[in-house]
Amino acid sequence: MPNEKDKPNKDKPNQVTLTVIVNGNPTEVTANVHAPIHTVIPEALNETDNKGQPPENWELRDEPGNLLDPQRKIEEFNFAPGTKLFLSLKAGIGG
Amino acid sequence: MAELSLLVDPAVSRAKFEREVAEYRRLEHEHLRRGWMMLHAEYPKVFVVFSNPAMNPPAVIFGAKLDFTNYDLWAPSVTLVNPFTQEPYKAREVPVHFLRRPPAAEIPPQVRAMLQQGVPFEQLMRPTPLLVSYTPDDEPFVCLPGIREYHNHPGHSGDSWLLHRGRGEGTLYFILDQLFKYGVQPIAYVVETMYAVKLAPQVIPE
Repeated sequence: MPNEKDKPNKDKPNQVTLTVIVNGNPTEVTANVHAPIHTVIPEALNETDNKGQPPENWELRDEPGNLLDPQRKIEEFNFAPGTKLFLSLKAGIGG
Repeated sequence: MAELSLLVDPAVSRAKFEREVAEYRRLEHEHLRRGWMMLHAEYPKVFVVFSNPAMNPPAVIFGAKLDFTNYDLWAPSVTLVNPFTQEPYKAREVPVHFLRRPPAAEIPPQVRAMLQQGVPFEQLMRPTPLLVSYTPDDEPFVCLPGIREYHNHPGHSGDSWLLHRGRGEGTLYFILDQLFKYGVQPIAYVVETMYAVKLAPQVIPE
């Protein structure tokens, strides 16, 4: 549900606050809308104290499970207010 | 290794188990939107049913039982089960394939170029099956680091769980996320039409 934090920041219009669920733990990350979305990953990991794996071992998905292209700019995704992103650890080699 | 031997104080494993279940419950609404339904969670077992809400009508895909005995000295055990009877699936009974593409960095350049031209991956490379069994009548296991059956398999004796423990793998969320990613999210209804040619009388004589 949209709340206060989802509203555009009038003082910093290029910034957006995203809710990122990191391996099952939610956190909020402030990012520049003109930056590639992969810039969210290190900050979300830091906020949730996930330091066991490097950022490249994680992948960002939307709620239905679609993989987000890490090089695309945040503004290109047109996230609706209240959008939750899922940052999940890639599994090691198996099979 | 005896599966039922207790190596960790159950109070310790129970506390870690309850923390993981509490984290799940905190986001239960989001998990349900992805089709995850936790129907039972009592130490050391969790039972989750996976459905695919993107399908129309939504479909129940499979169930999974996780066992957190000796957690987290051991990784959780995962058994795929019939979502209604909770009976473990034999390999031939599992309704979906758990297939994985190789990481982009491991795909040969010429194959990568063809993928970029739109050639389907399946025509170029064979995906890795993550559900493994010796025979179709065996119970399969999910062959991924962070799952007990992977680490207990003799073929992975060089990849101990203790090398992964505390690094994000082997948590309740991690395991459910992998089951969803490889077993549920790729699934869609496919209509197959079979054409057959047969000899049939057009005019039936007297």
